Amino acid sequence: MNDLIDRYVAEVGRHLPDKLRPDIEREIRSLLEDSLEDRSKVAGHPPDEAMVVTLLKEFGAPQKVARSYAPPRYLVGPTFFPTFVAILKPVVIVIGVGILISFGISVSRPGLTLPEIGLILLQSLASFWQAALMFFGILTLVFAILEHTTPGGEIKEADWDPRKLKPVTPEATRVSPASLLTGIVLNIIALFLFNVLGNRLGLYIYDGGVWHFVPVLSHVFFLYVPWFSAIWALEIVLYSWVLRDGSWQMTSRLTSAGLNLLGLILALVMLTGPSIVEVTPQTLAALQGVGLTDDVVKVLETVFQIAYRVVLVFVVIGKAVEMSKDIYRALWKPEA
Amino acid sequence: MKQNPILESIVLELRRGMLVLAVMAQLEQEQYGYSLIKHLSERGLEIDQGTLYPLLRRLESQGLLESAWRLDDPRPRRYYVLSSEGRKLLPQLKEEWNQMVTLMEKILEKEKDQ
Repeated sequence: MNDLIDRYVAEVGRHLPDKLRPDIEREIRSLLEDSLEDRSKVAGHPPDEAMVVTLLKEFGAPQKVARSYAPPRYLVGPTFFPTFVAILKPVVIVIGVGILISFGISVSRPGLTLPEIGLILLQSLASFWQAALMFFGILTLVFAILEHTTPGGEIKEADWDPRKLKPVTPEATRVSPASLLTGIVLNIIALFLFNVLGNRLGLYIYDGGVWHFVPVLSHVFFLYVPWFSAIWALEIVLYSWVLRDGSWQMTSRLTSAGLNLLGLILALVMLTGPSIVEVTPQTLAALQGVGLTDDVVKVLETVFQIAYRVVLVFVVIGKAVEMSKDIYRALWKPEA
Repeated sequence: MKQNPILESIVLELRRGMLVLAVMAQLEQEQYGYSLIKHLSERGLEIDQGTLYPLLRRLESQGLLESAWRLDDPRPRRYYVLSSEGRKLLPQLKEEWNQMVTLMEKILEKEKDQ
């Protein structure tokens, strides 16, 4: 009989947070034993198994009892869940489309046998599963951090003043969820691309009915990946925050300016530091393997060296402009 | 008797606010969980442990109750009693309750007359 109570109390405890468990277990046991003693007095005989079973059934299922003690715990709570789903769905579709295109390119090679196509299909499915799962994991992590760092949203009555409410103009009242969501999705795709598929970034040359992969990024480039990944991750957190608040505030504008400044500094370091593209002997061999002469390879390398620097110059300019806009809006036009 | 789920949920809501006062009123003298359930039951108010204990914890976290485990009883029991803060608040709550009852009687009486 006591065994049933032990098992019941342990099962309730299994569904409780560690911090509350010992105290609540002790309390439930005490209550159960008091109730049992009382029933046994009324029945005029010592407690038996049937009596314990009836009592425990009246108490209710262990999960239900545990739930009444501990508030529900969420990784992504009801406030953030709609945004979470709104981001998850389109990105999973984009990943699916990307993998589908990659599958299409892979099976376009002539002379593939049916088992080979089957194998490529399986590999594509595995890639989709891996990518979707990883994206889901990153997104859940970002939202879990938001969930546990965002204040409860209770507004102190004394803190608000109707006269300080924002003027009602279409531009000023709310942010554009579409642009923020697009920003979040693009950052997540970029994170995935550079962190998971980084070693597959390079040139793809179609020759002799086959796609040849030629790596062009140097090891220096991969030293920067954690840094710009961190900036992108912080941007995702910022955009999600603004999405939840429904408007840009001075603090979010200044945070955005800070992130743009970090991006600008990183782009400057990349621009002035050692080259992020290189033609290694392997690259050279690969390029020659697809029929390119030494001269063409040299020209290509020069083009790459110039092209990435031009791109970085644009990034620096873009970041500087964005940062200035953020600071202007934060300090002089907070409602815009 | 209460078959209608909407009726049940409204009654549950009405009871929820009342239970706080009922429990606090019983805890001017210290009591352990089971004795409190019995006391309330004898006065016609049935309350299950799944409602009572979370309520006691909430009132304790609000500083209205104090609790202590007592090990000299036949089995370890947690005793609850009103804190000084709770004692100060109880008469005010009773007053609020009486006003609500009077108000509701008036409102319901008016409904009957119409």
